[in-house]
Amino acid sequence: MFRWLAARAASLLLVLLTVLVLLVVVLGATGYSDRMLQAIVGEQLRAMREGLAQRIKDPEELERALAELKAEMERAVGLDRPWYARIPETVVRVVMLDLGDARSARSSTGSTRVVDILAERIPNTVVLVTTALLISALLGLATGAWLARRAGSRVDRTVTYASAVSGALPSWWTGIVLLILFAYQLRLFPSGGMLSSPPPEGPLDRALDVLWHAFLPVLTLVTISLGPSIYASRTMLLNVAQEDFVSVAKAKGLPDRVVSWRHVLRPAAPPILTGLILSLPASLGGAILTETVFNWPGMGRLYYNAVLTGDEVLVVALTYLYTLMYVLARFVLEVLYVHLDPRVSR
Amino acid sequence: MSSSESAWDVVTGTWPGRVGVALIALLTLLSVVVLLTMPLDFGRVWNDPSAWADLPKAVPPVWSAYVSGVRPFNQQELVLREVATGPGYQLLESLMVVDSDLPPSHLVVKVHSVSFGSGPPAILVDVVRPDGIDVPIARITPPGPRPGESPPYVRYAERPHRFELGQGAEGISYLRAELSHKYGAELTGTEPPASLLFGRPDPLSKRIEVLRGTYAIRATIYRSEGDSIGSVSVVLGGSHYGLMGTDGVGRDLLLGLLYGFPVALGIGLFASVLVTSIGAILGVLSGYYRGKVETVIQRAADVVANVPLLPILIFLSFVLRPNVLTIMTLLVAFSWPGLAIVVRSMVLQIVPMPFVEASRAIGSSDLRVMFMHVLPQLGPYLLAQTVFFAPSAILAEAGLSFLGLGDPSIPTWGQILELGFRTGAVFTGYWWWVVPPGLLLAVTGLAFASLAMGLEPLAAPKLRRT
Repeated sequence: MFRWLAARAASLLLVLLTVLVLLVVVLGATGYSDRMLQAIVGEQLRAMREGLAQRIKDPEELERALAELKAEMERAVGLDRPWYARIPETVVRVVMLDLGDARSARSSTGSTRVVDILAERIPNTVVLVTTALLISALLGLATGAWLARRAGSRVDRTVTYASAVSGALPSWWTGIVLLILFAYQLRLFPSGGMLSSPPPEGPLDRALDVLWHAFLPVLTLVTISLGPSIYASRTMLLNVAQEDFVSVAKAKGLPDRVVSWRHVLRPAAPPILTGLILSLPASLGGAILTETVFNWPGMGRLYYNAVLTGDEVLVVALTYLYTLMYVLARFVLEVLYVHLDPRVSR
Repeated sequence: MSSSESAWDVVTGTWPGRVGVALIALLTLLSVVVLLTMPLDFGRVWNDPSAWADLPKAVPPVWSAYVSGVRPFNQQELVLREVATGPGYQLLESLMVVDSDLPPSHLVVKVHSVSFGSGPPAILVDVVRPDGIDVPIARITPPGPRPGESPPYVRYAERPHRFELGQGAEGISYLRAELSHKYGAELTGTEPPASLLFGRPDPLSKRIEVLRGTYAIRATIYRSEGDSIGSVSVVLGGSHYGLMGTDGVGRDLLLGLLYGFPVALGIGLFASVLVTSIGAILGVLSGYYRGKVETVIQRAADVVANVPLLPILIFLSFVLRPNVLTIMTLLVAFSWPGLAIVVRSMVLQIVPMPFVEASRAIGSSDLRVMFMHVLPQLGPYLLAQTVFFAPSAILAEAGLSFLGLGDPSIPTWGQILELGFRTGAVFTGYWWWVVPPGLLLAVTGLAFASLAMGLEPLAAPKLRRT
């Protein structure tokens, strides 16, 4: 079991590394990485200039000292070497999110450091995505089970068809339609953001306010993943329900509830989980667009703003973070899979 | 395939298949019509604001006015005709009946090709309203001779001169004064000029009603002997426009949406054919050769399959600013693994079959066996996969476009949506700008997904995976 998990972990780490190298190589080959480092050096030089100007009064000497300092710093960050010689350092830089300052984005405390900005965005995205994923997984399982009992009926065929094709619909556009309908026509829900301004006092009111703001984005994300979730659950439950051991269990006279839980749901769990794993990238991608539509202050909205304002450091950091998030989520699901499917551990 | 007739029967035997076939046929037909009737470099026209200058900005489609029970003002261009001429002057006029519930969105006076010998002519345009108020709206004098230029001096020949109502505010402030005097209403000064010109302030409701009746639009031209004016016309912007309305630049959304059909279909087909070919070839290679080839390809597939697609595409599009073909190629570069993995497992079942063995026994080359014997067995499955992948490609392009990373030279549905979203169409209620492009994306996705479902029975016998 541990060997299997280790192999999965190795493969996922390789994914992370591939993405990192891809990021770094593309940045290097297009000259982006030079520009980023020069910006960092320039920033530090500006900060040191004041101090130097205090000590060195002669303007010419000051310029010379600054030029020397600049050359030294450029050597330190590796600007004197071609980009491909810097690949390992740049990879470390991205991994540590040591990317300097964002161009226009700010954290709520006014910091321009990429790390600070990301730190307060990550939880917002995680909360949104996991809530939506949990809801659609549970709802999908319930609906799938309900449909599997009515396999072949008109309801079953209609819902199955709808679920199968729903993956081909632009779900973020559903978000826009929901926004027009519920936020602007009916004025039932806020048009975006995460908190009202000013935010309500008291933790309970605040939580309710967040829930109220999260309703439409979560609904949008659920519509993305519910279809595939229903489809996978129904198909897998149906497959298992036709197995011989289920018939035997029924023949033994076991109560229906025991049969459905122990003999159908339990064996069907791993493939259903696989479906969930496979829908993960779509959910993550959908979350980027959904956050953008609803102005949800997470990583996705930050991505959109970074692209819009040409903030390359943030784009790099977010691309890496999304990959990291995906790889982590994927690994959690793999661990869960091992727990559900005893065959794997053998 | 020899069994094409039965394949047709299978696909049209289920109703998802029928829906898919019907929708795809409709989309293809529309695309062909668009390709035959619209210029191929429509992207250039689309991105040229001067091509859309006469159209009203961000107005809803005409039919929506009738749905909500109001009579719209329809877009029109009136060419003023000569009614009198004399020494040194010329009088042009055109009459227009206004009986709509809404005023025009804007008014533009256009003067084409003026040619003069010494001093430039002066063109004075005024509107006589049904209530008798005569409003001077424009005074146009082409620029005089430039140093070194010899007569006749020609102006406004390539592009007409455009004068938009409200540019010089004198006529409008005169009208405002007259209106307050005549109707005893207070005007705030923020009313759109065209609604004042064709309106009557109601002192009770404080609103400006459309003043119905016949308007005379006149141009008096003061000119020297031998000067000529090509034409003077007046464009009245519709309160609603066309079948699909306009966007914030005044572009006819109908044209943009129509052009999106061949673009979307092209994107879907290009990407899905490419991804199917690459996935199938790599899958066949690894399933046929086994050993190192298999290990390398399948390991690579396992890694690439786990790269989250959208973030990587966002990053690459952001840095490389690729055109639409490159975007699709990048998409393909990260989408082939799923297919390569499944095809491999299917090839593993096909290779031990007697006919493959027989072909090998008579000395067929590996390539021949792979592509003449193994690959055709996968035909139906690959066809279904091609259809199945098309909407993902279309949606990926739309998603990127929505984030402002599309190829700006080719208008797509995603880009129309993006511009609408970015200029706040959602918040201002410009539904006609954001709902139709998304709806078309949805219908296209539905078409391909339904067809793929219809094809599933064909591919299903081989779909069983481990």
